[in-house]
Amino acid sequence: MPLIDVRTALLQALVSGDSYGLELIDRVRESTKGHVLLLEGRIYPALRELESDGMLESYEGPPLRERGGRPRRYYKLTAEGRKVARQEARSIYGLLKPALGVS
Amino acid sequence: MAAKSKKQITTEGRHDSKELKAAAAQAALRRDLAASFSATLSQQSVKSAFDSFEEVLSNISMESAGHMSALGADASLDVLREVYKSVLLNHYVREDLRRVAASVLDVWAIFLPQRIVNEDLADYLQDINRRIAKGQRWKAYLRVVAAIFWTGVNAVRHFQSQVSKKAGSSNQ
Repeated sequence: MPLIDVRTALLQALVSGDSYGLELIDRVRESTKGHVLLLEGRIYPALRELESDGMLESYEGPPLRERGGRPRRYYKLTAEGRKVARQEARSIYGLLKPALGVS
Repeated sequence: MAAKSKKQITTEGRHDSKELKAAAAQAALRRDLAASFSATLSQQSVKSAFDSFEEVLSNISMESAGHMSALGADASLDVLREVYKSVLLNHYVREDLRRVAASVLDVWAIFLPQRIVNEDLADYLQDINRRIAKGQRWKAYLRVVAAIFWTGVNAVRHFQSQVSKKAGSSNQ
């Protein structure tokens, strides 16, 4: 059972570029080889929280037929979000060093 | 009844096995033709489903044409008609499912805040359409239920946070 926090996973997934909810789920699943599975029910509130904390910005794309004519909401990291993502990555790496056998 | 001579039995046996082999070869050809034709139809996907059978026949692949000449015209047409019917049926079943899912979620959307409709619910709908296209009917049904449940939960959270924000600002 992966113990990674949803907000951390979302921030790290957004480092590689702007994205929307469904694609972020796929991105996290692929980059962790299926070990971290995010639930839709949890990621949207987390995305909105990160946005209201100033770590993300969002914008709407064009309306799409497969979404019933509704637009996609894309998220991107703000400068603050990018800084936090980098700090998080460093601290997680520090934590993982012993388990990875890195001195 | 006179007993059959040994020669007669051997000849009949050879004859039966020849017929069996021919039937097996025929069945294999029908299977190959059905597989190559349904592959062609699935590549053309939705567009083909609305084309007439004659139009589809005019765009038949080289592979299918090869199987057809080996199988014979009449038998080939039977196989092609069967495949075409099943592709059409599948297409309409999927379209129905797509329409039902979209209608259910559209009704549910009336009760939700616009942001949740455009973001959470529309992502669910996109995923449901993807699963329907893959033929995962039951997963699509489950996703509709999950969509209703989670968007409901998130809408309640959204209203709660709005209320607490208002309460906070009025206290200040």
